[in-house]
Amino acid sequence: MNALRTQERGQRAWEAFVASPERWLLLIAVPVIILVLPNFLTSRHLFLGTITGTTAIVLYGLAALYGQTGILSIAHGGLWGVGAYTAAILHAEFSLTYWEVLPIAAVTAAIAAAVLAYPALRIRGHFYLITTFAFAELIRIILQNGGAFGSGETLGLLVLGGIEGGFFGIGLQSTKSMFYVMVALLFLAMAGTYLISISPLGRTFRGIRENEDLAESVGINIARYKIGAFTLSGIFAGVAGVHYAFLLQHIEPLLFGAFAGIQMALMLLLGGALPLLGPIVGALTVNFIPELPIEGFGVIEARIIYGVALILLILLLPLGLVRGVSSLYLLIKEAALSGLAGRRPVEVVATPEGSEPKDNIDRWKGPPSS
Amino acid sequence: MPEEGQRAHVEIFFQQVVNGLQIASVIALIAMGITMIFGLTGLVMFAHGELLMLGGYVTWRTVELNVFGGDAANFFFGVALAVVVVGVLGYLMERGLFRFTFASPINGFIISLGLIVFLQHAIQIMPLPGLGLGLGGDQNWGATTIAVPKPIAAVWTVSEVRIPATRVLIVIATIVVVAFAVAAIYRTGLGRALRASASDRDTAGLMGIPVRRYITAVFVIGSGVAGLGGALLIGQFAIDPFIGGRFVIKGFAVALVGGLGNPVGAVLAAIILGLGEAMGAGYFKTEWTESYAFILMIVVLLIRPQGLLTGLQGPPTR
Repeated sequence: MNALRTQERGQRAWEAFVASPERWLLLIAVPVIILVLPNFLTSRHLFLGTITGTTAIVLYGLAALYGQTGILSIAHGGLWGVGAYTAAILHAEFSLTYWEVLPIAAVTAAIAAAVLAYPALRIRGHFYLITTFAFAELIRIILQNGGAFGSGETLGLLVLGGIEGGFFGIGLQSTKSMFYVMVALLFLAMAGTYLISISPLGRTFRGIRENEDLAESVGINIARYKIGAFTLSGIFAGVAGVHYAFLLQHIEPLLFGAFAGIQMALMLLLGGALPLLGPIVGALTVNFIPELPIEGFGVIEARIIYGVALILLILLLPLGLVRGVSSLYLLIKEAALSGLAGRRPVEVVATPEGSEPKDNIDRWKGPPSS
Repeated sequence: MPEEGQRAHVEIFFQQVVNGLQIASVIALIAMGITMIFGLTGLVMFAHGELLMLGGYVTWRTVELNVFGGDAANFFFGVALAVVVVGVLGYLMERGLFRFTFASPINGFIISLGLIVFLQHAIQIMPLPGLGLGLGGDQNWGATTIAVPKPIAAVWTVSEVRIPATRVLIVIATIVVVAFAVAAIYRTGLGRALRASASDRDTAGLMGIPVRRYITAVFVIGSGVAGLGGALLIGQFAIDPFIGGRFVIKGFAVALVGGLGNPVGAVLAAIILGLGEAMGAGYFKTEWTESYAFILMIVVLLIRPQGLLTGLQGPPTR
């Protein structure tokens, strides 16, 4: 029960923050920063930032799946590979452009996601999490062994062959324009996730999350909605995969296995699946912690610090970065205000101690309606 | 001529059985810890593969130190030391990190991911005792592949099937450990209390079972057994800091196939997988070998979502 209450306070803190006047700071500052940022970053960081945002597109699909239906998937690390390979093959074989490939790859990844959803009807909880792990690796192995790319064969199971898609981008070739296209797609993804969370569809998803048996007994077709949720999140993965392929200009199966999927789950859980900013904050944190410049430290030390940082972050902010930081912020603000007024601090929101209930099943409906 | 061809066929088969049993042993050792930790706490502990890796490193380091002067003696001392060191590490991890996340195992999952990154890289710059000059801070020694001399050089040949003594040793050690663990879990009062805690933590606690201590104990023993797996592994193969990932995936696959929380099922599934991989490598294309674990897992779970043997569903959700 205590865990639930902590959870409740965490989400309330985020909602309170969104309702507070400070939100205008956020609303104005963020777009301005995004627009001018590419001019100040090194090309390496701009590239990394574009990759981060592209990954975040997948994360928003994943957030819709996990935050609403409570199903966490590592298979999305493979699903965006489906999108990327669709793009790579169609681009090379049929000379389709970025914009032509985008909807096609979204559909193929969505179909793949629907197929992966079938086991979710029988396997539940952490069992399914580990099953999606197997799917992610299977997709990678198929990409690795399934046919020589560029030989005119389909993505079928073929002989050995290096699958290396080397190809060049569309007119928007510079990294900077890839960044801006990413920003546009990312905003669409955020809007999509938000719309799902406030729609009747989202309510049905949450009903399944809270009590699957009860949802079924009131006439909800569980199978259809679970597969639907997967399919929706597959679209996000497909779109991100296309952008990723065109950004890197060279893709290989190792980019799309369980490792990528685990990174995504990590970003999502670290940022928090429910607050709208959670996925992007998580992605930025995971990608940029190893980039922090620390005197006299090499690559290995940077990785060690990264590992320690992950552990510390989740121990100190078990509700996720966004909710944790926003409740800390409100706590400090409250203390400062009451300090000025010479009163005892009133406890409005608790520090984010304690922990979430199992499976991060949240009683709150999702991104707040501000 | 057909006579001889058939004979070669039989020999390849038995050769692969020998190889498969040895792979199965290491997978079984890592899966035991995974399955028991999950059964008791619901924690998806991905860093278990790194414990295996550390076990290998401790053994390697001990053999390098050459205290006893003989390959076999050094190796066995290294194995014992690996079990102890990794077991202590398991204790520290449970007390220092994972006990804070038992209310939300998904956070424990993230901590285990952090631990993977940390351990994989920390081992590369770890100043280990007994290192010669200049090795303590040298960044490059740890990332390379390490190996020890064969502890027992003998290779028996039974009608052209080559059976290295080390492999037999690995299999026997695994059988002993597994038999001991299964007997302890299913034939003793402590084991019964453990099973009770795994099936319902709260009720077991109300009945006076010190569930928290059982969790700690399972972490220590599970880690120690993984350390043993790594120590035995390096007896036959070379390893590197990133070996853990390959084995933890298979460990989870067999733990899931056998029924999470059921050590007997895990061992059974490990034997199936080990033999399957060896046969596959012997007869089919090797590039698909790593997919067998996943295909086996998905097929079994679709037919029997609870695993081959009945496992535990983990602690009650709320």
